[in-house]
Amino acid sequence: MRECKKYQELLPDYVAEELSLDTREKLDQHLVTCPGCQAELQELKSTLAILEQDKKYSELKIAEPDFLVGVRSKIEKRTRPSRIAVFRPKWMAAGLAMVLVILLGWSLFKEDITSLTNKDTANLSSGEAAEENLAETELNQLLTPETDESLDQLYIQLAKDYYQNEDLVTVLSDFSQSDFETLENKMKNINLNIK
Amino acid sequence: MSNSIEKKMVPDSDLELIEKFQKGEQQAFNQLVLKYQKKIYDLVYRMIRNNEDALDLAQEVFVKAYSNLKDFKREAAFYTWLYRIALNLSFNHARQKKVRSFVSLVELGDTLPAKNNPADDLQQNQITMAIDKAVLTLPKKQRSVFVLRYYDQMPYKQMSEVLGKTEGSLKASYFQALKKLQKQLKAYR
Repeated sequence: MRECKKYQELLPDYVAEELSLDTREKLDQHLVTCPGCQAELQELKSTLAILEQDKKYSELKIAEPDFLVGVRSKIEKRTRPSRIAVFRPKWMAAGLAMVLVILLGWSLFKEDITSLTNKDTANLSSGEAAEENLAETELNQLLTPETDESLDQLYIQLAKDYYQNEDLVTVLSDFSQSDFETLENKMKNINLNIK
Repeated sequence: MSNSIEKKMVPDSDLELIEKFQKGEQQAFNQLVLKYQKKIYDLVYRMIRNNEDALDLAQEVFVKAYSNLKDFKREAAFYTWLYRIALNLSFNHARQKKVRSFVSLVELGDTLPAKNNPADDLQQNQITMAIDKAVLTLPKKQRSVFVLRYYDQMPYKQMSEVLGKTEGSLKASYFQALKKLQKQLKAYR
Protein backbone atom coordinates (compact mmCIF):
# COMPACT_ATOMS: atom_id res chain seq x y z
CA MET A 1 0.00 0.00 0.00
CA ARG A 2 2.84 2.34 0.96
CA GLU A 3 4.57 1.30 -2.23
CA CYS A 4 1.38 2.09 -4.20
CA LYS A 5 1.27 5.63 -2.78
CA LYS A 6 4.83 6.18 -3.93
CA TYR A 7 4.03 4.89 -7.42
CA GLN A 8 0.76 6.83 -7.69
CA GLU A 9 2.59 10.09 -7.09
CA LEU A 10 4.60 9.29 -10.21
CA LEU A 11 1.51 8.76 -12.37
CA PRO A 12 1.13 12.37 -13.58
CA ASP A 13 4.70 12.32 -14.87
CA TYR A 14 4.11 8.87 -16.30
CA VAL A 15 1.20 10.20 -18.37
CA ALA A 16 3.24 13.24 -19.39
CA GLU A 17 6.07 10.87 -20.37
CA GLU A 18 8.52 12.72 -18.19
CA LEU A 19 9.86 9.85 -16.12
CA SER A 20 13.35 8.53 -16.51
CA LEU A 21 13.57 5.21 -18.35
CA ASP A 22 14.53 3.36 -15.20
CA THR A 23 11.64 4.74 -13.14
CA ARG A 24 9.21 4.18 -15.98
CA GLU A 25 10.16 0.51 -16.23
CA LYS A 26 9.70 0.00 -12.49
CA LEU A 27 6.27 1.66 -12.64
CA ASP A 28 5.28 -0.44 -15.66
CA GLN A 29 6.16 -3.60 -13.75
CA HIS A 30 4.15 -2.44 -10.75
CA LEU A 31 1.12 -1.55 -12.87
CA VAL A 32 0.98 -5.04 -14.36
CA THR A 33 0.56 -6.54 -10.90
CA CYS A 34 -1.54 -3.82 -9.21
CA PRO A 35 -5.20 -3.34 -10.32
CA GLY A 36 -5.61 -0.46 -7.81
CA CYS A 37 -2.86 1.59 -9.43
CA GLN A 38 -4.17 0.67 -12.89
CA ALA A 39 -7.58 2.08 -11.95
CA GLU A 40 -5.89 5.17 -10.52
CA LEU A 41 -4.08 5.66 -13.82
CA GLN A 42 -7.34 5.50 -15.80
CA GLU A 43 -9.04 7.99 -13.45
CA LEU A 44 -6.13 10.34 -13.81
CA LYS A 45 -6.17 10.12 -17.59
CA SER A 46 -9.85 11.02 -17.77
CA THR A 47 -9.38 13.96 -15.40
CA LEU A 48 -6.49 15.25 -17.46
CA ALA A 49 -8.68 14.91 -20.57
CA ILE A 50 -11.26 17.28 -19.02
CA LEU A 51 -8.58 19.71 -17.97
CA GLU A 52 -7.19 19.61 -21.47
CA GLN A 53 -10.42 21.20 -22.77
CA ASP A 54 -9.83 24.15 -20.48
CA LYS A 55 -6.31 24.45 -21.80
CA LYS A 56 -7.59 24.60 -25.38
CA TYR A 57 -10.45 27.01 -24.82
CA SER A 58 -8.85 29.43 -22.43
CA GLU A 59 -6.27 30.78 -24.82
CA LEU A 60 -5.46 34.10 -23.27
CA LYS A 61 -5.22 37.27 -25.24
CA ILE A 62 -3.50 40.43 -24.17
CA ALA A 63 -2.58 43.36 -26.34
CA GLU A 64 1.12 43.46 -25.55
CA PRO A 65 1.93 47.17 -26.03
CA ASP A 66 -1.15 48.09 -23.98
CA PHE A 67 0.09 45.95 -21.14
CA LEU A 68 3.40 47.81 -20.92
CA VAL A 69 1.61 51.17 -21.20
CA GLY A 70 -0.60 50.11 -18.28
CA VAL A 71 2.40 49.11 -16.17
CA ARG A 72 4.19 52.36 -16.92
CA SER A 73 1.12 54.41 -16.13
CA LYS A 74 0.73 52.69 -12.74
CA ILE A 75 4.40 53.24 -11.94
CA GLU A 76 4.07 56.89 -12.92
CA LYS A 77 1.07 57.34 -10.62
CA ARG A 78 2.83 55.71 -7.67
CA THR A 79 6.09 57.62 -8.05
CA ARG A 80 4.65 61.07 -8.83
CA PRO A 81 4.82 63.34 -5.74
CA SER A 82 1.44 64.66 -4.64
CA ARG A 83 0.61 68.34 -5.22
CA ILE A 84 0.06 68.90 -1.53
CA ALA A 85 3.57 67.70 -0.79
CA VAL A 86 5.04 70.02 -3.39
CA PHE A 87 3.36 73.14 -2.07
CA ARG A 88 3.67 72.46 1.65
CA PRO A 89 6.31 74.76 3.12
CA LYS A 90 8.24 73.68 6.21
CA TRP A 91 7.15 76.68 8.27
CA MET A 92 3.52 75.61 7.81
CA ALA A 93 4.20 72.27 9.46
CA ALA A 94 6.03 73.96 12.36
CA GLY A 95 3.16 76.44 12.82
CA LEU A 96 0.58 73.69 12.77
CA ALA A 97 2.56 71.70 15.32
CA MET A 98 2.72 74.71 17.64
CA VAL A 99 -1.03 75.36 17.40
CA LEU A 100 -1.69 71.68 18.13
CA VAL A 101 0.55 71.75 21.21
CA ILE A 102 -1.25 74.85 22.57
CA LEU A 103 -4.69 73.36 21.95
CA LEU A 104 -3.70 70.05 23.50
CA GLY A 105 -2.29 71.79 26.59
CA TRP A 106 -5.46 73.81 27.00
CA SER A 107 -7.75 70.82 26.62
CA LEU A 108 -5.71 68.80 29.16
CA PHE A 109 -5.90 71.68 31.65
CA LYS A 110 -9.67 71.88 31.22
CA GLU A 111 -10.13 68.11 31.38
CA ASP A 112 -8.09 67.90 34.58
CA ILE A 113 -10.23 70.49 36.36
CA THR A 114 -13.52 69.01 35.13
CA SER A 115 -12.65 65.54 36.33
CA LEU A 116 -11.52 66.83 39.70
CA THR A 117 -14.82 68.74 40.09
CA ASN A 118 -16.91 65.67 39.36
CA LYS A 119 -14.82 63.40 41.56
CA ASP A 120 -14.89 65.66 44.61
CA THR A 121 -18.61 66.42 44.35
CA ALA A 122 -19.38 62.72 44.32
CA ASN A 123 -17.18 61.96 47.32
CA LEU A 124 -18.24 64.82 49.52
CA SER A 125 -19.35 63.68 52.96
CA SER A 126 -21.58 65.74 55.27
CA GLY A 127 -18.73 66.69 57.68
CA GLU A 128 -16.54 67.75 54.86
CA ALA A 129 -19.42 69.69 53.33
CA ALA A 130 -19.44 72.25 56.18
CA GLU A 131 -15.71 72.88 55.77
CA GLU A 132 -16.09 73.16 52.04
CA ASN A 133 -18.97 75.63 52.41
CA LEU A 134 -16.73 77.83 54.50
CA ALA A 135 -13.97 77.62 51.96
CA GLU A 136 -16.48 78.44 49.24
CA THR A 137 -17.65 81.54 51.11
CA GLU A 138 -14.07 82.72 51.48
CA LEU A 139 -13.40 82.10 47.87
CA ASN A 140 -16.58 83.90 46.81
CA GLN A 141 -15.35 86.88 48.75
CA LEU A 142 -12.05 86.62 46.99
CA LEU A 143 -13.83 86.34 43.68
CA THR A 144 -15.84 89.49 44.24
CA PRO A 145 -13.23 92.14 43.65
CA GLU A 146 -14.20 95.77 43.36
CA THR A 147 -12.38 96.67 40.14
CA ASP A 148 -11.65 94.95 36.83
CA GLU A 149 -7.98 95.47 37.37
CA SER A 150 -7.96 93.62 40.64
CA LEU A 151 -10.07 90.90 39.00
CA ASP A 152 -7.44 90.45 36.34
CA GLN A 153 -4.76 90.29 38.99
CA LEU A 154 -6.73 87.66 40.81
CA TYR A 155 -7.08 85.50 37.72
CA ILE A 156 -3.39 85.74 36.96
CA GLN A 157 -2.64 84.72 40.52
CA LEU A 158 -5.07 81.83 40.31
CA ALA A 159 -3.51 80.62 37.09
CA LYS A 160 -0.02 80.80 38.54
CA ASP A 161 -1.12 79.03 41.67
CA TYR A 162 -2.79 76.32 39.67
CA TYR A 163 0.58 75.13 38.55
CA GLN A 164 2.37 75.77 41.83
CA ASN A 165 -0.13 74.92 44.54
CA GLU A 166 -1.98 71.64 44.67
CA ASP A 167 -4.26 72.83 47.46
CA LEU A 168 -5.57 75.60 45.29
CA VAL A 169 -6.34 73.11 42.61
CA THR A 170 -8.46 71.28 45.14
CA VAL A 171 -10.29 74.49 45.99
CA LEU A 172 -10.86 75.24 42.33
CA SER A 173 -12.30 71.79 41.93
CA ASP A 174 -15.20 72.82 44.15
CA PHE A 175 -16.34 75.36 41.62
CA SER A 176 -19.56 74.55 39.84
CA GLN A 177 -19.18 73.93 36.14
CA SER A 178 -20.70 77.33 35.27
CA ASP A 179 -18.42 79.13 37.75
CA PHE A 180 -15.44 77.43 36.31
CA GLU A 181 -16.44 78.22 32.75
CA THR A 182 -16.83 81.88 33.65
CA LEU A 183 -13.36 81.84 35.14
CA GLU A 184 -12.01 79.97 32.17
CA ASN A 185 -13.47 82.49 29.70
CA LYS A 186 -12.04 85.40 31.60
CA MET A 187 -8.66 83.72 31.71
CA LYS A 188 -8.72 83.28 28.00
CA ASN A 189 -9.12 87.03 27.56
CA ILE A 190 -6.16 88.13 29.57
CA ASN A 191 -2.58 87.83 28.59
CA LEU A 192 -1.07 85.18 30.84
CA ASN A 193 2.58 85.48 31.57
CA ILE A 194 3.38 82.44 33.63
CA LYS A 195 6.96 81.70 34.35
CA MET B 1 32.85 44.92 -36.54
CA SER B 2 30.99 41.71 -37.27
CA ASN B 3 31.47 40.69 -33.65
CA SER B 4 29.75 43.80 -32.39
CA ILE B 5 26.82 43.22 -34.78
CA GLU B 6 26.52 39.63 -33.61
CA LYS B 7 26.65 40.81 -30.02
CA LYS B 8 23.76 43.19 -30.65
CA MET B 9 21.66 40.42 -32.18
CA VAL B 10 21.78 38.41 -28.95
CA PRO B 11 19.15 39.70 -26.51
CA ASP B 12 20.37 40.80 -23.10
CA SER B 13 20.04 38.31 -20.28
CA ASP B 14 17.82 39.14 -17.32
CA LEU B 15 20.81 40.00 -15.17
CA GLU B 16 22.21 42.34 -17.81
CA LEU B 17 18.84 44.07 -18.07
CA ILE B 18 18.59 44.36 -14.30
CA GLU B 19 22.06 45.86 -14.10
CA LYS B 20 21.17 48.39 -16.77
CA PHE B 21 17.97 49.27 -14.95
CA GLN B 22 19.82 49.64 -11.68
CA LYS B 23 22.10 52.11 -13.45
CA GLY B 24 19.05 54.15 -14.45
CA GLU B 25 18.19 52.77 -17.87
CA GLN B 26 14.39 52.66 -17.86
CA GLN B 27 14.24 50.95 -21.24
CA ALA B 28 15.82 47.86 -19.67
CA PHE B 29 12.83 47.49 -17.37
CA ASN B 30 10.47 47.76 -20.35
CA GLN B 31 12.32 44.87 -21.97
CA LEU B 32 11.85 42.76 -18.85
CA VAL B 33 8.12 43.54 -18.90
CA LEU B 34 7.82 42.61 -22.56
CA LYS B 35 9.74 39.40 -21.97
CA TYR B 36 7.65 38.16 -19.04
CA GLN B 37 4.24 39.80 -19.42
CA LYS B 38 2.55 36.84 -21.08
CA LYS B 39 3.92 34.30 -18.63
CA ILE B 40 2.97 36.40 -15.61
CA TYR B 41 -0.44 37.20 -17.02
CA ASP B 42 -1.11 33.51 -17.68
CA LEU B 43 0.10 32.52 -14.23
CA VAL B 44 -2.03 35.12 -12.46
CA TYR B 45 -5.07 34.26 -14.56
CA ARG B 46 -4.71 30.55 -13.81
CA MET B 47 -4.45 31.35 -10.12
CA ILE B 48 -7.42 33.71 -9.79
CA ARG B 49 -9.52 32.56 -12.79
CA ASN B 50 -10.77 36.02 -13.62
CA ASN B 51 -9.70 37.68 -16.84
CA GLU B 52 -10.27 41.31 -15.91
CA ASP B 53 -8.63 41.14 -12.50
CA ALA B 54 -5.76 39.11 -13.94
CA LEU B 55 -4.78 41.96 -16.26
CA ASP B 56 -4.72 44.44 -13.41
CA LEU B 57 -2.94 42.06 -11.07
CA ALA B 58 -0.31 41.05 -13.64
CA GLN B 59 0.48 44.74 -14.11
CA GLU B 60 0.73 45.10 -10.33
CA VAL B 61 3.34 42.33 -10.32
CA PHE B 62 5.59 44.46 -12.53
CA VAL B 63 4.87 47.61 -10.55
CA LYS B 64 5.98 45.80 -7.40
CA ALA B 65 9.02 44.42 -9.21
CA TYR B 66 9.88 47.95 -10.37
CA SER B 67 9.87 49.32 -6.83
CA ASN B 68 11.96 46.44 -5.47
CA LEU B 69 14.30 45.78 -8.35
CA LYS B 70 16.86 48.25 -7.04
CA ASP B 71 17.39 45.91 -4.07
CA PHE B 72 17.22 42.72 -6.13
CA LYS B 73 19.86 40.28 -4.98
CA ARG B 74 21.26 37.89 -7.52
CA GLU B 75 20.85 34.91 -5.23
CA ALA B 76 17.73 33.86 -7.13
CA ALA B 77 16.93 33.99 -10.83
CA PHE B 78 14.80 36.94 -11.87
CA TYR B 79 11.89 34.80 -13.08
CA THR B 80 11.87 32.92 -9.74
CA TRP B 81 11.62 36.22 -7.91
CA LEU B 82 8.94 37.51 -10.30
CA TYR B 83 6.89 34.31 -10.00
CA ARG B 84 6.98 34.57 -6.22
CA ILE B 85 5.62 38.12 -6.41
CA ALA B 86 2.89 36.95 -8.80
CA LEU B 87 1.88 34.05 -6.55
CA ASN B 88 1.81 36.22 -3.43
CA LEU B 89 -0.30 38.88 -5.11
CA SER B 90 -2.67 36.20 -6.40
CA PHE B 91 -3.13 34.81 -2.89
CA ASN B 92 -3.75 38.27 -1.49
CA HIS B 93 -6.22 38.98 -4.26
CA ALA B 94 -8.08 35.76 -3.55
CA ARG B 95 -8.23 36.63 0.13
CA GLN B 96 -9.47 40.14 -0.54
CA LYS B 97 -12.06 39.22 -3.08
CA LYS B 98 -12.88 35.84 -1.59
CA VAL B 99 -12.70 34.32 -5.04
CA ARG B 100 -13.47 30.79 -3.92
CA SER B 101 -16.30 30.03 -6.26
CA PHE B 102 -19.00 31.46 -8.49
CA VAL B 103 -17.21 32.78 -11.52
CA SER B 104 -19.98 34.37 -13.51
CA LEU B 105 -20.84 33.36 -17.03
CA VAL B 106 -20.38 36.96 -18.12
CA GLU B 107 -16.77 36.89 -16.98
CA LEU B 108 -16.19 33.56 -18.62
CA GLY B 109 -17.73 34.80 -21.83
CA ASP B 110 -14.95 37.38 -22.07
CA THR B 111 -12.27 34.74 -21.89
CA LEU B 112 -13.65 32.33 -24.43
CA PRO B 113 -13.31 32.62 -28.17
CA ALA B 114 -16.56 32.90 -30.12
CA LYS B 115 -17.80 29.65 -31.62
CA ASN B 116 -20.46 28.92 -34.18
CA ASN B 117 -22.51 26.38 -32.29
CA PRO B 118 -24.33 27.84 -29.25
CA ALA B 119 -24.84 24.36 -27.78
CA ASP B 120 -21.08 23.78 -27.84
CA ASP B 121 -20.56 27.19 -26.26
CA LEU B 122 -22.92 26.36 -23.43
CA GLN B 123 -21.33 23.01 -22.75
CA GLN B 124 -17.87 24.49 -22.92
CA ASN B 125 -18.87 27.29 -20.55
CA GLN B 126 -20.15 24.75 -18.08
CA ILE B 127 -16.93 22.74 -18.19
CA THR B 128 -14.75 25.81 -17.91
CA MET B 129 -16.82 27.07 -15.02
CA ALA B 130 -16.56 23.73 -13.26
CA ILE B 131 -12.78 23.71 -13.75
CA ASP B 132 -12.52 27.29 -12.46
CA LYS B 133 -14.51 26.41 -9.40
CA ALA B 134 -12.54 23.21 -8.79
CA VAL B 135 -9.17 24.97 -9.12
CA LEU B 136 -10.26 27.78 -6.81
CA THR B 137 -11.19 25.33 -4.11
CA LEU B 138 -7.68 23.87 -4.03
CA PRO B 139 -5.59 24.89 -1.02
CA LYS B 140 -2.98 27.60 -1.70
CA LYS B 141 0.06 25.35 -1.97
CA GLN B 142 -1.66 22.73 -4.13
CA ARG B 143 -3.11 25.40 -6.40
CA SER B 144 0.28 26.98 -7.06
CA VAL B 145 1.85 23.57 -7.65
CA PHE B 146 -0.97 22.60 -10.03
CA VAL B 147 -0.83 25.87 -11.98
CA LEU B 148 2.95 25.90 -12.32
CA ARG B 149 3.14 22.23 -13.26
CA TYR B 150 0.04 21.68 -15.36
CA TYR B 151 -0.35 24.97 -17.23
CA ASP B 152 3.18 26.33 -17.12
CA GLN B 153 4.78 22.89 -17.40
CA MET B 154 7.53 24.07 -15.13
CA PRO B 155 10.11 21.41 -14.20
CA TYR B 156 10.08 20.35 -10.54
CA LYS B 157 13.57 21.75 -10.02
CA GLN B 158 12.45 25.25 -10.97
CA MET B 159 9.22 24.87 -9.01
CA SER B 160 11.33 23.97 -6.03
CA GLU B 161 13.20 27.28 -6.39
CA VAL B 162 9.99 29.29 -6.74
CA LEU B 163 8.04 27.63 -3.95
CA GLY B 164 10.88 26.66 -1.64
CA LYS B 165 9.76 23.02 -1.35
CA THR B 166 11.53 19.77 -2.10
CA GLU B 167 10.86 18.04 -5.40
CA GLY B 168 9.39 15.03 -3.58
CA SER B 169 6.87 17.16 -1.71
CA LEU B 170 5.95 18.99 -4.92
CA LYS B 171 5.24 15.70 -6.71
CA ALA B 172 3.04 14.58 -3.85
CA SER B 173 1.21 17.95 -3.84
CA TYR B 174 0.64 17.81 -7.58
CA PHE B 175 -0.84 14.35 -7.35
CA GLN B 176 -3.07 15.38 -4.44
CA ALA B 177 -4.25 18.44 -6.41
CA LEU B 178 -5.16 16.25 -9.37
CA LYS B 179 -7.03 13.85 -7.09
CA LYS B 180 -9.09 16.71 -5.69
CA LEU B 181 -9.86 18.03 -9.17
CA GLN B 182 -10.80 14.50 -10.22
CA LYS B 183 -13.36 14.36 -7.42
CA GLN B 184 -14.81 17.76 -8.29
CA LEU B 185 -15.00 17.08 -12.03
CA LYS B 186 -16.41 13.59 -11.81
CA ALA B 187 -19.72 14.67 -13.35
CA TYR B 188 -18.03 15.83 -16.57
CA ARG B 189 -16.28 12.58 -17.46
